[in-house]
Amino acid sequence: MKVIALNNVSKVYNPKGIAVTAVNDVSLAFDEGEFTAIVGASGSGKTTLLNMIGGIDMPTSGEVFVQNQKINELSEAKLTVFRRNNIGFVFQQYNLLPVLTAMENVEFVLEMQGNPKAERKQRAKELLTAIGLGNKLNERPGKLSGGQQQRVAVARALAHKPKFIIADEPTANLDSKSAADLLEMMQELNRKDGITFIFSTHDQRVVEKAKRVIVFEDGKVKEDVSYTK
Amino acid sequence: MTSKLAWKNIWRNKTRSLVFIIAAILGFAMALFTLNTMKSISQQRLSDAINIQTSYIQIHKAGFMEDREINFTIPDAENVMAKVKAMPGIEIVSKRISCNAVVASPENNIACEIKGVMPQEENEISVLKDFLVEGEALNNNQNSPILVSKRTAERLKLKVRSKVVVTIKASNGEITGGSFRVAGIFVTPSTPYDESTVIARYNDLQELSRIDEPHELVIKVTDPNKVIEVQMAIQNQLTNQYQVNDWKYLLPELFAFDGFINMVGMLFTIIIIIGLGFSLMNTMNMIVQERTKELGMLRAIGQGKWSVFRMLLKESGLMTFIGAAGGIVLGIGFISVASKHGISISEGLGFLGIRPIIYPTLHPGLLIMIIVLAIVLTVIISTFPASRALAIKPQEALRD
Amino acid sequence: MKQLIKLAWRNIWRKRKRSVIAIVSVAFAVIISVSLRSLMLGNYDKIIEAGVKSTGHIQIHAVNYWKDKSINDLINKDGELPNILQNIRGIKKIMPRLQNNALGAGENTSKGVMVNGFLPHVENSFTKLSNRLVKGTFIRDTSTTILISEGLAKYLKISVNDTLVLIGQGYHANIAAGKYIIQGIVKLPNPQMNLMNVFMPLQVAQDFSTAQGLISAYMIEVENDDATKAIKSKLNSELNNSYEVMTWDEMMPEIRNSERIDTIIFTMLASCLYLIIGMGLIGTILMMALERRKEFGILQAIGLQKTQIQLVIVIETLLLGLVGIISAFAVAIPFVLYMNAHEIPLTGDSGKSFVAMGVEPVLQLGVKPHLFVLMALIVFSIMLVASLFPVLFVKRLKTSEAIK
Repeated sequence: MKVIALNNVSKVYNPKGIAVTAVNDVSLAFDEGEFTAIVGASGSGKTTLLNMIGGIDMPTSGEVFVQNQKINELSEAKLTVFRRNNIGFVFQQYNLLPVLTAMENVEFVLEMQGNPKAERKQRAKELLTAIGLGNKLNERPGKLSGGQQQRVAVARALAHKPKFIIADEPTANLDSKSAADLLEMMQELNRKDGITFIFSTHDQRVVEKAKRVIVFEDGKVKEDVSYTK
Repeated sequence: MTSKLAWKNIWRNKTRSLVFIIAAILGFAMALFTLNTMKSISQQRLSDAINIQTSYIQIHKAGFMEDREINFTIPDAENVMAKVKAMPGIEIVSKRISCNAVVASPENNIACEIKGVMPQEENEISVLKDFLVEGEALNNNQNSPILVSKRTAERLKLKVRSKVVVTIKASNGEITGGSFRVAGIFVTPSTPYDESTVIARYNDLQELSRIDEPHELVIKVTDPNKVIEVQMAIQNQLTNQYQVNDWKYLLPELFAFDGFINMVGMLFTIIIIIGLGFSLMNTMNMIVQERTKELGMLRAIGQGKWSVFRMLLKESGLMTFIGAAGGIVLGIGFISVASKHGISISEGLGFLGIRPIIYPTLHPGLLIMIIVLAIVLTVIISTFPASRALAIKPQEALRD
Repeated sequence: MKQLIKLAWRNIWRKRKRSVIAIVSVAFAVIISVSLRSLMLGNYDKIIEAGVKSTGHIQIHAVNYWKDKSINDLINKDGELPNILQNIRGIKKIMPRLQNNALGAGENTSKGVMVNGFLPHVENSFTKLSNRLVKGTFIRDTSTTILISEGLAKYLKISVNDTLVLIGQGYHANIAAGKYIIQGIVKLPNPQMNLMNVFMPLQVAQDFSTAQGLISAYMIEVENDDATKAIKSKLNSELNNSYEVMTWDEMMPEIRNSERIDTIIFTMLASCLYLIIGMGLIGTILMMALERRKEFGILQAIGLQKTQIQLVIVIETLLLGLVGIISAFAVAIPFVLYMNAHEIPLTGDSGKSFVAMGVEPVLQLGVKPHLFVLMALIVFSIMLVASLFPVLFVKRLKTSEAIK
């Protein structure tokens, strides 16, 4: 079953009257359990595409379905709830809340969803231990390395058990060792828990690990290749 | 160059700079307006008291001011007056008798001070005649005239031409009384003066009190700014048995109040500028923090650290300057509007000699005080954040 | 909610220096205004207390007496009035007084004085005049001797056992004159009063003014200050308006008038101060929000509603204000209490100007809890206004643009 479907989606930015087409009439579908890389030069429209899948940005035309729900018709508040329940985000800049500890960052969304305290603490601890940060639970992001911060970000994205995770250039700021570690961790989550990952990258080593690679150029899909490993 | 850079830097973060500048404009405008209004009240009180009551300089027999004994008269007064009149800077000299009395009508009686004055000279010295609401000023054709305040007239149930009996203790120690006729009724801004003063002719009171010489000589000077010089000159001409005092001595409370107002004004200004200082400090802190890299770069390309420091001071100085200049213009605007229409400060402050409607004027001294305090405090306050910039090293520009 | 408060609290301390300056500025404004106002109100408490001691809470006179204080407008000491007064609840004590003006003469000087006839044994427990004795002894109802105020004694150069000659006008234009031995000297707190008062037993004063059985006022002490107004209207209806009933603030309007001008000065200063501090806070809070544009975007992306983000900002701002208020109170409350217990005598020019205004030249802060509440409310309102700007900012924020 296709969890995500984009039908003839376009996005036109119109800053100061000059129309810039970031995504141009794209139709794509994603299955549950995918591990997909979206590859393209910067400015090719990858981020815009991911944002639209994640319900952060709205298409200018076309439809976005997530689990048969047409999300580009939802109100902003409903969309927020939708994101909170279904999608996990990982950003290039980690973007953890600097004032909260690793544990609290992971717990945060759970609390917003109103989960009981004991449960969410348990969940946060499990997740962080699973990604190898069991000894850094009470450190604030400032005290962690880039790789560690990005792992916490992944743990945060996973905390509320989303159907899929959208990651925009998750390894861009990491050294190659941290990048490899992060990727390995993501692969394992994909394999063991069946979590869908859709991530953008221009790092060849990352691309190699993907099960499906979509090459994006000038707002259009240039290639869409699936591998079976 | 650094000035130009400072100016441009201010507008890099428009919101932040504008918030500060608006706060400064409002602060300075309100401070200027409030201080000048307060100062004007105090000055109005003083000038009313000088013009109506004391004039600028008075001469008494030494000891009279303390004891006010009826026999402490000025020896050889005519001679002294002639001497003083001949001096430069003197507009007019007149003599007065002053003693405590009970003034009674058939209805009531009050205790007060009675002054005996020379009608013609007194009219040039005192503006009391301008505050007459009924009747006329003293002149030599009336029969035992007396001026009383409206307040006294009400209490004694007097009208113009009513008769009153004045009882005093004469120079020979006897208690004597004489009758006077109300010639005029006055209302001055000062209730205490109104309640405690009646005025008769010098000759009438001299006859009643049986003294030969006056108690005080009242001197109006041509230039109020040279009072001290004139006072010193007169004292130098006279022996120690004559005491020459200026209005500051004669009206100690009002002079003290003026000093008190100056102190309150200074405090007021300091409080406001410290209040502004917090914003300034915060703004400067943010600027230094945001620009650590940039300042490091400036250092790397060869700008000295004191030059960076000065540039930051210029930036905060410039912001305060814009605020202060705007505030001063706005404040002067407020004052000129208020000076046309007047500010109604509460009625019933006559007991302090304050008029119910005040027309504030701009006092340059206050303007200078505000500007000086603003400069001093701005420099002190912005020195702290700016001095952090001194510690920035060129290599910080290169660090990520 | 707990999490949001924790988040807000930690956010405050992200830019430590900035928050400290904001907190100090709030504390500064609160401390300055609370201290200043406590000083003013403390001062008025003293003036009012002294004033009430000299006039009583309420006085009953002949109609229109107070305006002119004529010796001819007197009332009967005995008769219906004391009976009526005794039956009104809330009245603690009634004290008859006869007041007249006269010229007081010493050896060489003379001065206008106020002659107060009163019943020492009745009045003393209220006015505590005997505590003000600086020389000699207190008089009794049956004495024929008098007390004079300290300033007057100095002026006339007379002291205990000397004779004071009084001359004036008595009831119905009779001549009032007499010689009295001074038994004691009292120091009155109001400097002007201190220069002009003579106290004598009621009977002696009635003899002086030829006003047998007559008084100028019944001075009333009430049991509860707050009931003064109510008792006044009760008196007015009981007495059918055939007497003049006045409360202390009607008899001494200058107290209320100068309080009013002080209030104006204070309001101007405090509004200037809060305006400036408030602008600084608005700037600080706004910067706090503008800097965190991206963070707000991320929070939205991971599933926080805008309202929740706005709530964090409001909590942050209010917390900042709260910390400011708490630190201000931590300084101001002990300060005010201390200064209430230890008054400072004023010297120099400011002392003189106090004396000139008829005020005892001491500084003593009043303890006024409502002032603290008021200042806290002002700070919270400023903080709410300050949080409005970032709240609007978040409302307009577009997630996709914010996370760029």
